[in-house]
Amino acid sequence: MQVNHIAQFHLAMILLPILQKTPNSRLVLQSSELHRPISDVKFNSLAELNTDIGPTKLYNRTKLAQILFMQALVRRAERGELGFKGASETGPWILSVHPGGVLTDQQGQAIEAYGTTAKLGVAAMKPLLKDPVDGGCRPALFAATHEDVVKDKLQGKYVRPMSFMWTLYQKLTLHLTMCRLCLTEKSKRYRVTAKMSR
Amino acid sequence: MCQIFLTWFIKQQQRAVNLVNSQVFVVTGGSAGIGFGIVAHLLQHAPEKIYLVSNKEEHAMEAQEELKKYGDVSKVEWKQCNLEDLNMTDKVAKELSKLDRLDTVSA
Repeated sequence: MQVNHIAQFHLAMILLPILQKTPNSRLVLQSSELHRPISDVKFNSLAELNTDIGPTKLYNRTKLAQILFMQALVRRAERGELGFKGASETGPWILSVHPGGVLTDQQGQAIEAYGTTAKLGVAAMKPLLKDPVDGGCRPALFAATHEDVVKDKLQGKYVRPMSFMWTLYQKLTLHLTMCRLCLTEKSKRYRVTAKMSR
Repeated sequence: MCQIFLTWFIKQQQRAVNLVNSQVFVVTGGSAGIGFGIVAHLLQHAPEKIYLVSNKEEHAMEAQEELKKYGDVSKVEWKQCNLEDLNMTDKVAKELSKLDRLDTVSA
């Protein structure tokens, strides 16, 4: 929680004024689809956060925290409670991101936490995992740099990579949609397809 | 034929990274994995500066070496920070808050 969320939270809060000063700046929060398996969490005490709920749930909680942080910031920005107005016009654009299944040190950490079972699981999953430089960073890069975030006013959105079937469809039809966007299940649901400019 | 198509397709995807020229970035966990991927791609597009926030010096040095393939590595500045230590995180954050501009924080 400290590394995945609290430190990021603190860094983001200290840097928010500089982001606000820079037109159309971005705050990109690394989250994950793995935020979904957990919901019985209140974030209302240190004791709660320090209770060991197992490595998987602990991780899920950190990713949920990132999304809730994004939503809380956007809510407060819209109400003018962050000391500046107009975030939906000039930024900072606050988004969270799911990188996909990526081959990183995380698999090593799973093995550390779960031992042999994890070793087998990781070996099975490895061929399906993306390379962090080729694929894993793309949703974050989209959120961080693409002009469609400003053009389509994608404030408070959760960005995921295209699914494999969708990628296949794109390749076949020669569309160049980079990411599919949707709000998290904690609030409204709709989908936006972001077109990539040439 | 397939190879040509794939290369073209990947190039199209790379064009999606725009607006990076002369911008300032802060990327946590930038020495490995997804964070490194973000720094590598940003570096290809001539940013003003990328602050790579990570803890272990050897990882940062390795990352710096790898990043030479992607662009002008002098634009990447390592900010050592142990995110497990909130006091250290606070100190690094306050140093970075003295910047004139900040276009993206990847946390």
